[in-house]
Amino acid sequence: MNTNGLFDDLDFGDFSAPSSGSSRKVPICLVLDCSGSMRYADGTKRPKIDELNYNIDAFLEYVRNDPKASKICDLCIITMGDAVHVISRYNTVDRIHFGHFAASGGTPLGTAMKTAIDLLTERRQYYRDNDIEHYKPILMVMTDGDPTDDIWAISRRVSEMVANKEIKIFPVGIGINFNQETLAQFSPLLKPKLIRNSEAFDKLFKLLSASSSNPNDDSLEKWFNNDF
Amino acid sequence: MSQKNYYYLDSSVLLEEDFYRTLEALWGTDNCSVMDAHIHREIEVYRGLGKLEEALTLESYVDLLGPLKGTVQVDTAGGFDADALAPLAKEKLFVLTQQQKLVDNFASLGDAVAFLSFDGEGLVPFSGSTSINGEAFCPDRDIYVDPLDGDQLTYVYSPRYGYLKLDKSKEYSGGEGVCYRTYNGMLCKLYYKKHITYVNFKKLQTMVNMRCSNPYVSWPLDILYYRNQFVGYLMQELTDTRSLDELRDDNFSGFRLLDRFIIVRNFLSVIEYLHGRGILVGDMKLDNVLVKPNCDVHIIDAGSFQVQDYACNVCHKEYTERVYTGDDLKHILRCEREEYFPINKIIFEILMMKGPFYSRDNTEIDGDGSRDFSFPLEFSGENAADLPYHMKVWFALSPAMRQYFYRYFTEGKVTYVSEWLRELELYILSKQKQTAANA
Repeated sequence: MNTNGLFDDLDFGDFSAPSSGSSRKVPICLVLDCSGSMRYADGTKRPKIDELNYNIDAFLEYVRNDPKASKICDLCIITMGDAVHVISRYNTVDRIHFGHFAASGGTPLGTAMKTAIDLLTERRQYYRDNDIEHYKPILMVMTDGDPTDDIWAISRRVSEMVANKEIKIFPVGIGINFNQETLAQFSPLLKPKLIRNSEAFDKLFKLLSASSSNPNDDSLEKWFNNDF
Repeated sequence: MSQKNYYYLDSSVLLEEDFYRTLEALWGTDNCSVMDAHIHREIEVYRGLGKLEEALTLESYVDLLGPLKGTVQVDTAGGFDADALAPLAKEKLFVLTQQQKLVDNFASLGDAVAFLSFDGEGLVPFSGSTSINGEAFCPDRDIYVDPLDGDQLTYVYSPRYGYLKLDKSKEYSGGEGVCYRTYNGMLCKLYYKKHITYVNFKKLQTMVNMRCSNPYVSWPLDILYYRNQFVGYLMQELTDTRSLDELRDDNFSGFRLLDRFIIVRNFLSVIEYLHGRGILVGDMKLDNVLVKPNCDVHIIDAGSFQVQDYACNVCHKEYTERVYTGDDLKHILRCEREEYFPINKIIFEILMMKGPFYSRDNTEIDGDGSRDFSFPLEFSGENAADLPYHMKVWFALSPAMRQYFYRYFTEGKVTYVSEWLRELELYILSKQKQTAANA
C-alpha cells in the first residue's frame, strides 16, 4: 500500500525529542535477607546487615552518578525478615528513597522470590505496553540462612525461567555458616557465590554496578564462575 | 538452434566511461541485452540528486536498447531477486556490473552465470571483496614478556610529540585499555597488560605510517612508550560530542528527525572511506561512534580496526553476526560483508530508535533470543495515527530503504554503502525541501 501522505504528522524539522521513544532498560531486582541472623558479623568486619546497608548505599550512589546507569537501571528492592517488604517497585534510582535496613525475624525466601517474579512479570507487561526495550532481567538474591517458608514451587519456576533464558539469577550466600544447597535450587546454571568477608561484599556490588551501566559486561557472571 | 548469450547490463557498468564501445563489440545475432526495470528508478534518483549526466546516459541506453528486438526486459526488484534471470541462466548469462551486491545476490543462479566488470578498456572477471575470512598475522610467541600496566604511569613518551604528562583526573576505560587526556587536545590510550603485544605494536606502527587524512576518524598519531617500552598510542581528543549509545538512551534529544538521517549519511560516509581502503572497524558499536551537535560523525577507537592482516581483537556480542571468542579474535580476519551486520543494526537504531529485532513480543534486546525481523515491507493499511513512533518512522522511510533493511535482516542480502548513500542523499534533499516549505 502506498504510504504517501499517511505519515505526514512526523515532523522532520522538530527539535524536541519524540516523547514515545524511551531509553533502554536493564531491570535489576535485589532480594535481600534482613532476618535476625544478619545482626551478627560472620566472617565480615561488621554485622552482615551493616555490610549490606553500606554496600547498597555505595551501589545506589554509583548508579545515581553514572550518566548511563542512572538512565537505564530499572531497580526493584525486596527485603525478607519479619515479613516480605517491597522497598521499591521497578524504578529509576533517582526515584528510590529508603532508610537503612534493620535485621529481625525469619527468612521467608519463598514468598520473597514469588513477589520478585510477580513484580518482574508486571514490569515486563509495562515494557510491552510502552514499547520499552530492555536487557535480560537480573535477579540477585542474597541470604545467610535456611528459608523459613516453602520454596519448592517457586524455585522450580525460577529455575525454568533461568533455563529458558528469561532471567539471569545471581544467588549469593552470606557468611561462613551458609548452606548453599538452598539457593542452588533456584539456579540451574550458576553455582551460588559465597560471600565470606567484607572484601567480597565490596567486589560483588562493584561488579553489579558495572552491569547496571553496561549490560553487556559479563564480569559478574565470570566472577560467579571464578573466572575473573 | 544456437545457444544465446544474454548480457545483463547493470546501470553501474553503463555509467562507466567508454563502455559504449565494448557494448558495440558485443552486438551480434546470438547476443541479447538484458535490461532491468530498476534502471528507471535509478534515472529518477540521479535526476533527483541533480546528477544529470548520469541520468541522461542511462536514459539514452534505455532509448537505444529498449526497442531492439533482442533486448530482454527483467525485474530483479532492485538487484535483490535473481528469479527473473533464472530462465536466461539456462542458456548463457553474463552479468555485467561493477557492484558486489549483484554478485552476492545472483550467485544462487549457479555456474551458468559469469560476472564481468568493465576495467576501462574491456570486460574482465569481477573481482570484488570475498566473504571468506582471511588469516591474521599472529605469531605464537610474544616478545613483550613483562608489560607495564598503563594506569601506573604518570607520563609517557611519543617520538613525534615528546614527553606527555597524563591528566589522571579523568579516565575513559574501554575493552582494551584506558584513555587519559594530555596537553593540547590529545588523548593517550594506554593498553591493559594483555593487549601490550608485539602484534598490536606492529599494527600501530603500520597505522601511524599509513596516516589518515580523514578528520572523522580518530587515527593513531604516534606510538607511546614508557622507558622505551611500548604502552599505547596517541590520538586527537574530540570535544563537544556525544556517543550514539548516549543519544540512543536520550531519544536523540537536540536533534531533529531529519538530523538523524543526516547522522546516518555522515556515518556511512566514514565507513565508505574506511572500506574503500580495505580497513574494517571491527568492533563497531554505538559507543565507538561520536556525534557533534552539527551532525558530524566521528569513529573512534581506531587502534582496534582491522588493518591489512592485523585483526581486530575485540567483539561485541550485540553487534556481531558471528561471535568471535578467544583465539578466533586473534587469528581470523573478518570480511567486509560481516561488517554489514553492525552497519545495518546501527543505522536502524539511529532512525527507528529501536533495535531491528524489537517487537511487542520481543522487547528484550538481543539476549539469546531470536533475531527475527518483524518490520513489514509494506504498510498494510492499519490506522496510521495509532502506530507507535518507531513504526511511523519505519513507514516514513523511502520504500528503497525499507527494502534494504528488510532484505538484509530477513535474507542476509547486503546493500553496500554507496547505494545507501545515494538513497539517503535523495531522501534528505526532499525532506529538507519539505521542512523549509513548512517553516
